Amino acid sequence: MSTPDSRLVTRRTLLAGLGAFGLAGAAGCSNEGRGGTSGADTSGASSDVRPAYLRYTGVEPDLAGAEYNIPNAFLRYPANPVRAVEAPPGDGKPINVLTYTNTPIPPKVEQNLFWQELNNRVGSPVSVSLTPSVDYTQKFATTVAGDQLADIFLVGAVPQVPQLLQAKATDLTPHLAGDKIKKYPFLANLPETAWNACIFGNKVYGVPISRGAISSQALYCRADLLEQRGLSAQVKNADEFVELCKALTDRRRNRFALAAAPTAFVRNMFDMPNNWSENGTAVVSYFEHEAHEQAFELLRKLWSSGYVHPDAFSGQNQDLKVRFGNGTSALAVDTFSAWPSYLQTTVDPQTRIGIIPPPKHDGSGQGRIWLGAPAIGFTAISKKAEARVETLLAYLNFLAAPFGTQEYLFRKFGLPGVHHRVVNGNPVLTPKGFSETQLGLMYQADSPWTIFLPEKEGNSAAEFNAMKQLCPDAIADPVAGLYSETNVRKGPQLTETMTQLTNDIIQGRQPVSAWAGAVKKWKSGGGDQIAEEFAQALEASR
Amino acid sequence: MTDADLAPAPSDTTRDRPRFEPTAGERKISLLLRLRRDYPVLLLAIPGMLVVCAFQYYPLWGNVIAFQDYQPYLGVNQSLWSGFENFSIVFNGDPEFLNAVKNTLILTAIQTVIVFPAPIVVALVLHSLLSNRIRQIVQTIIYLPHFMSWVIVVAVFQQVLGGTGMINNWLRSHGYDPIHVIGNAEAFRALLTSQVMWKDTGWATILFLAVLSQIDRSLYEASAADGAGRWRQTWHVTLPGLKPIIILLLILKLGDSLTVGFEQIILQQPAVGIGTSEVLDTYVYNNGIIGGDWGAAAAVGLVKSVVALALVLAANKLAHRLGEEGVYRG
Repeated sequence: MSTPDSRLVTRRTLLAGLGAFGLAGAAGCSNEGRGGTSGADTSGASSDVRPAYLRYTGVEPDLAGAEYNIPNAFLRYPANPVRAVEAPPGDGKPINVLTYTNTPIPPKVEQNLFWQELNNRVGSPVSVSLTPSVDYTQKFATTVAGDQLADIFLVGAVPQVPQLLQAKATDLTPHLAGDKIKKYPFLANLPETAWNACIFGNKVYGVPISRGAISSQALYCRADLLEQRGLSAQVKNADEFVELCKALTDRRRNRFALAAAPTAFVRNMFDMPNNWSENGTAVVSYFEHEAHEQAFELLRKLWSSGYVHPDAFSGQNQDLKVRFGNGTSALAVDTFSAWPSYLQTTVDPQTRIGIIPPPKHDGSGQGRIWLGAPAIGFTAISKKAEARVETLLAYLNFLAAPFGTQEYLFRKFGLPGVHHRVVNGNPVLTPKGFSETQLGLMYQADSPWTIFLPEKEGNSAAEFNAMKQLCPDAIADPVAGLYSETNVRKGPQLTETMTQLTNDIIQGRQPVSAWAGAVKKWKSGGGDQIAEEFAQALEASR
Repeated sequence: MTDADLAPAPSDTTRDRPRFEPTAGERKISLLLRLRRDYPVLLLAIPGMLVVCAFQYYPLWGNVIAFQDYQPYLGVNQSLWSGFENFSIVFNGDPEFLNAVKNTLILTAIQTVIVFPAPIVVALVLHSLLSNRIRQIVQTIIYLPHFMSWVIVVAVFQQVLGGTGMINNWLRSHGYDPIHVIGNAEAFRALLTSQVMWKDTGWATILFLAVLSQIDRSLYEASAADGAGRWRQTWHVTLPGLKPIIILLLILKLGDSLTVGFEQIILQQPAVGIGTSEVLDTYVYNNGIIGGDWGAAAAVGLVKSVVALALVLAANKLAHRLGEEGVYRG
């Protein structure tokens, strides 16, 4: 929820306050409500269609993350960026895109120099229909129902995605399978695992928005505010966390420690599995984890004590950034990939951003965060645009140009002097640049994530180090990318019910004891079947 | 309509009477002759009929999915028929469905008892204002909210009453306890009602004001001559004058009674949870379009429409019994 990388979540999921389910969504964008035949496992044939991986080797990172399974970090933008795409990918005809955004809507193309220049470089007028991520599932479902899908669309978390794709999307297998992807070198630069999300029935239906560890959620803090109050960003147990929240709350000044309910963070304290866990040959949902009651008690305490922002359950995800940026709330759970936008939306120049690692609730050690999925979603190409599929893939390839290229520099930072200033050789977005560049390009296609935070000295290293500390121990979802028919049909709705209940319990509208009954209902209503199907898929993948 | 309209028509003058029932005279005229006589009017009606067919009748076809295990990507033609299976939610009383029905009925009751009479009261007050200038100013101001979309209205209420809205920020900064309105399930119905009233009461006075201006002045003068005060005049002259329009609107309202503000509610549903906020329309939307259970959602929608139709027909009958004109004569 709440995050640039929050995947396709409903508004309510969002409001779950980082409801684990949302998280699960992140982890499971390929899983919850989507279901993909994992390329590697279910059928040997998948490996034939899986696009080849060709790493882009143009630049050497300042801090290499491969060893920790986290993105590379850069302290400086390469001095003479190469031009990676020679000819504009466009065909002169308009390219329509439907996707989501986590930042304010940009100015119209007439008043948006960045957009005009983008159209110029693409060689086609690009028109983007943007919806806040929390509302995207609804927007997508109604768009599908009205048969109004754009040329390129980000696939929402609706039921029966495989059937949707078969009916509405172009089969990209003839263009991307195996070595054919080499025609689009920057799509070939996307990690192999990311493609699992878009392979269904041995066909490639989309281009993944690859993320991985960067889309893991963690607890951000305003290190500057903590320091002012002499507080430490290291908490050893649940009680210390509550104390920290208390110290950061000041009702008279309308300060609330937490921008939204820290559901994911609290669940991490109790070592809950990331969506699913393996138990012998069986697969068990984290819903059934024994610590839910304790976790809810803690969350309820935070809510009823007034440490959570009172509008946490009734707002938009952009509010998180506003609350964090203006100091109303010093703590917010979000994905690591949100760091740049937090940095770009700060109000006070003294702002410093840090990460608070989750402790075990009883103080017996370090809690474990949930590892982000290889892809947070994928974009497909409409069947109606099948004739232009090569142009549209070339456009997505253009958007996936990696760090170090001119295209990446323009895509993220616009034009020098207009959208960014050059500070110590690094591009730093101006306010105009921040407002004009928000075309949702990172949710159409993107290169593998690179940690590069030129806005403020030290942030690239800070984020890299925080991830280095947390991600190697992060819990992965064992069934991410596996397919379950029941999950595809019923998963989104079942999840939705649990998310609603999570919200209700945290706010005290339902007793904690309601959880057990709901889990029972979830199991009989399809949960058991989903678990069984995932267990089989997991078995088959070995 | 007046009594004269309802009196048996003289049978000789067919041309001047805008009547629908064929009389003895009309029956003798052949269809061809009638077509020739009426064709300009019929031509004028064609565009309207096309619109009605395209947007009112054609979509009715979609109701077949209530009887199917509907798969959106197979379409109506290839989805399997499932008979009345989808209706089991309605007839077996699925708890979530019953909850939606309950919430809908409560809101309908509130809207009928509180929201419906509000514009009548306002219209009466406005009507009794002597100064035209003041009346026009007041009217303009109370019409305005009608033109705001629900998104704006909800946002305005949130900015004022929200957890960190204007009022609560002030309360907290002065050491008082904040009042919990937005996101408080118990206050939700009151909140919905006040939003509807703020937005639409002014607009709804228009009809009543128009009717009020039609009431014969001489009736007031006559009643004043008989010694009636303001209250008596309202009771014996104004309200009887308003009665036909009130009944007409009540009947139409009944048809809408199971429709209690989809957009307004869906926008605020996350804040209060579905326990108190799920109504039939949001149930259909959440389960059908979002949840993908199209068949069951369509079944609920169909039942809702049938009930609404029955209510309108019954209310219309009742109005006739009571000697009122109602919506139409069947």
